[in-house]
Amino acid sequence: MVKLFRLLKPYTAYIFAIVSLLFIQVISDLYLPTLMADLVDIGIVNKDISYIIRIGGFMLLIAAGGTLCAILATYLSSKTAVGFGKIVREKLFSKVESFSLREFDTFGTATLITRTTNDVTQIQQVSVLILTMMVTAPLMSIGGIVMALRQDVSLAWVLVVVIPILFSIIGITLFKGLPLFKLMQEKLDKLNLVLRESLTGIRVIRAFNRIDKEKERFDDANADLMNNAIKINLIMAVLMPVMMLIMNLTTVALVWFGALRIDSGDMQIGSLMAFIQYATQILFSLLMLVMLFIMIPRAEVSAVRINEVLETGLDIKDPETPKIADQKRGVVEFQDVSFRYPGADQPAITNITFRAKPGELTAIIGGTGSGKTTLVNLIARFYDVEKGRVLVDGVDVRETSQKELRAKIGFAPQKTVLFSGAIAENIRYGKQDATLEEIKHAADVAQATEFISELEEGFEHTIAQGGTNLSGGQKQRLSIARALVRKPEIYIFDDSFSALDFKTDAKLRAALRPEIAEATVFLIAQSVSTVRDADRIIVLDDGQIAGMGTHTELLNTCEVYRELVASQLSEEELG
Amino acid sequence: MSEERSTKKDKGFSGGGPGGGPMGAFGKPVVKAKDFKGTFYRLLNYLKPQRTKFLIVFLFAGLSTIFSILGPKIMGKGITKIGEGFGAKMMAVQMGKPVPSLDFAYIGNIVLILIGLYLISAAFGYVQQYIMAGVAQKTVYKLRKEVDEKLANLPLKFFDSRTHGEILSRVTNDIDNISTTLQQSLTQLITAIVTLIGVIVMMLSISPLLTLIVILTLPLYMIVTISIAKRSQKQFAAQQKSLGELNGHVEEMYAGHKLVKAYGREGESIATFNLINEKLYTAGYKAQFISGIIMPLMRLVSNLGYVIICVVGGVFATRGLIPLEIF
Ligand SMILES: Nc1ncnc2c1ncn2[C@@H]1O[C@H](COP(=O)(O)OP(=O)(O)OP(=O)(O)O)[C@@H](O)[C@H]1O
Ligand SMILES: [Mg+2]
Repeated sequence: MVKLFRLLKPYTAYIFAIVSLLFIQVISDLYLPTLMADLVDIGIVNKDISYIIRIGGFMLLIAAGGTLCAILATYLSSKTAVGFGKIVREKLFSKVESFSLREFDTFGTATLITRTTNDVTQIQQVSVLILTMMVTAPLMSIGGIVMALRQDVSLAWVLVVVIPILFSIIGITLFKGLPLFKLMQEKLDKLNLVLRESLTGIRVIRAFNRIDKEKERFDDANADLMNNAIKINLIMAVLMPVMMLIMNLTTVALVWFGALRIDSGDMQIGSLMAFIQYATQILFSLLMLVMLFIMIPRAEVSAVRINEVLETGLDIKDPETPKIADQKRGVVEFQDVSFRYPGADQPAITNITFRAKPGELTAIIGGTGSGKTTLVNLIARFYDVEKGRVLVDGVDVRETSQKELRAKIGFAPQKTVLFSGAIAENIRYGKQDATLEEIKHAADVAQATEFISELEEGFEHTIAQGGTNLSGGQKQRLSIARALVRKPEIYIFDDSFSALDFKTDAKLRAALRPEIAEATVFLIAQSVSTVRDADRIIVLDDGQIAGMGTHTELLNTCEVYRELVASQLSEEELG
Repeated sequence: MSEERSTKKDKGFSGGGPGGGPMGAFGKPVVKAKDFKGTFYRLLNYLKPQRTKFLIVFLFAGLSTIFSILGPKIMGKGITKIGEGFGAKMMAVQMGKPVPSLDFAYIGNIVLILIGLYLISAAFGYVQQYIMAGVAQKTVYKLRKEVDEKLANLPLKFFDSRTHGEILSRVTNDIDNISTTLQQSLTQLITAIVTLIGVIVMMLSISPLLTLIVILTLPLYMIVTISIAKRSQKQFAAQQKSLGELNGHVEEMYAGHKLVKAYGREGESIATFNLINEKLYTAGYKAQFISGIIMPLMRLVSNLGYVIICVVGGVFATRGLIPLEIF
């Protein structure tokens, strides 16, 4: 938390102003009971009406002044705390945007979202409290004690007894309550988890009739949460009345011992009344402080989570002096490349060597988990290789700038991602200044025009978040169009044809041919029919190249490929 | 979309427990107020099985409050007695008579009564909270359970048209809001009503005139509260809307991180984010400010009343009209 507060620097002047304003406000609050004591002890006892009215007017002024300060302080502290939230959020988001996939993976999408949204809100809320209470409460308690002592020193021992009692009760409660508070969040997370799982797997759950089982799981988590909440509430049920009791008994004690002092002529009635007010102020401020100390650990959890993100070092960085690639347009070369995902003991790909030139279509085929996606990820430098080199246009991808490298690539990822917004906007994502003509052309090639024109507003049709209102095949075709509109040197289609029917697949490949004639194309596919007319087929098996060549070459030389073909094509097609 | 999601993130952490403070529920927009009445009755229905417990809670909250109002009244009697004794002493000193002692038998009695009173009040308060702890949580438990069962029967289409986050936040965050409200606001409401009635009765018994003064300041309270509440609702709604927009953007950009990277669009993504973040800031600090000034303003109003009572009471007291206990 303290680390994060460094980001408050632009608000230093504000914070000074807040502290001063609150200082004045506390003083005015503290002054009122003293004035009242005067009003009683001097005004009423002497029956001096003009004095009473004068002091009364003065009290009004003080009260108004204090309120003004408080309002100003609130204004400034709102700006500061919310501004603080803004800064933290901004830092977090730009940090995460700079993450490579590797850093992104180590956190995971869900928690990064929570950290950027919920955790920041949490921090912001606590900073509001800190900004106001952290100043007021201690000031008020200390000032209250001083003023109370000014009224009467010997009554103060009542406070000396009460305050430790108050603190030990709070201490015991916190001791018992804090673990439960922490558990609370865990149980809530658990409930979320159970529900999230049953939402993600809803189709499976329904298909296999596991609804009751899921219900039971949910119920367990739910009951667990309830029991914990009840435990906390039971503790609080003791705490609150006990607090009130202590405050009230303090007043009673003050009345009794104050009466004794008045009887011995050591104290005046107005002083006693003022003293009682100060005592209440002091105890309330202490309670406020305690509340603050309950809130801070909760916010601390959020702060730690935010810091983890902010302090993550970037492992993929641009070199100081990026090399500019030579003339060759779109030559991709792998030289003995091996790569392993962080934490994995087996490499995902091993000793990969090949060279792809413009005008060539390189197909990558292999069983699931064989490393196809991993291989193309390395071209775009989503990860850095462990061994070997990946060259694009003659330059090691680690020696050029990421922006420049990726500007050469049109990427259609295996998991199709569309953003909410118009279809045209989604295609335009590939090339910011694409004209409507270009977009329409890309859609044509991707065989998307037909279904787009059937939609209500055509290219202006709005896509829901994640593209849930489109079919899988429709989404894939938009994803392909997005890559096409970019007119890059290198195309990467990761399993982009998987959801297309045979006819569309063929039509698309035919339309694609002239479009990508001068580019280097990588096409990952599961089906042999999609890859059979490629210039080069790379057969991956368990991260290694099991064979490389054209369809006919591989049929003769590569056992793995033959098996693959045999499992997919009928005998006569084999011929 | 942001409309749908706007209810989502205002309660990041609330573990359904205390800590929200009395102001917790104030100023927040009434979430999903479309059919407030219907929702309210439905909620009442959920509470039905625990009717008797609720009645007990009401009863005990009422009793606890009555006792805690009686406290100051009796305390006032004691202070008046001390004041009288004090006055008599001064008088005696002035006239050179032997100084009388305070009436400690009387004061002692009052102190004992007070101690008893406060103990009973605390006990009642405890019983009330003890029961309420279970009632609120069990209601929420049932509510969650039924939502989950309902989800199991909804058509798949429902799930396709919503993000998981949205559904999740319904079941956890939003229901949590209800639990906090149940636990805090309901008891607060009872306490506030009983207190209001009690205090007015009490004041009337002390001095009808001063009561009138206090009651005259009540509309001021109301005006302050209502006008602030109105404004804050607007600002909070604006804040929730920007927050929803921001969450949406974050969710989308993170989910599509690979794509953002592949197409080198980090810059645009950040620019959009900053734009929304700025909007959120503007609405957010205003909302924060408005809800923040409620306390100082309330204190001002009560200070005004306090000063007026001091002055008027003081003037009366010099004429021996009313005892000091009004303070
Ligand atoms: N982000 C990741 N972190 C850790 N391990 C990973 C990650 N992505 C993939 N792997 C592992 O690396 C191996 C290769 O995965 P890859 O995604 O490249 O397979 P693939 O050939 O694309 O499979 P599919 O046909 O199913 O898409 C697998 O064993 C997988 O478990
Ligand atoms: Mg893959």
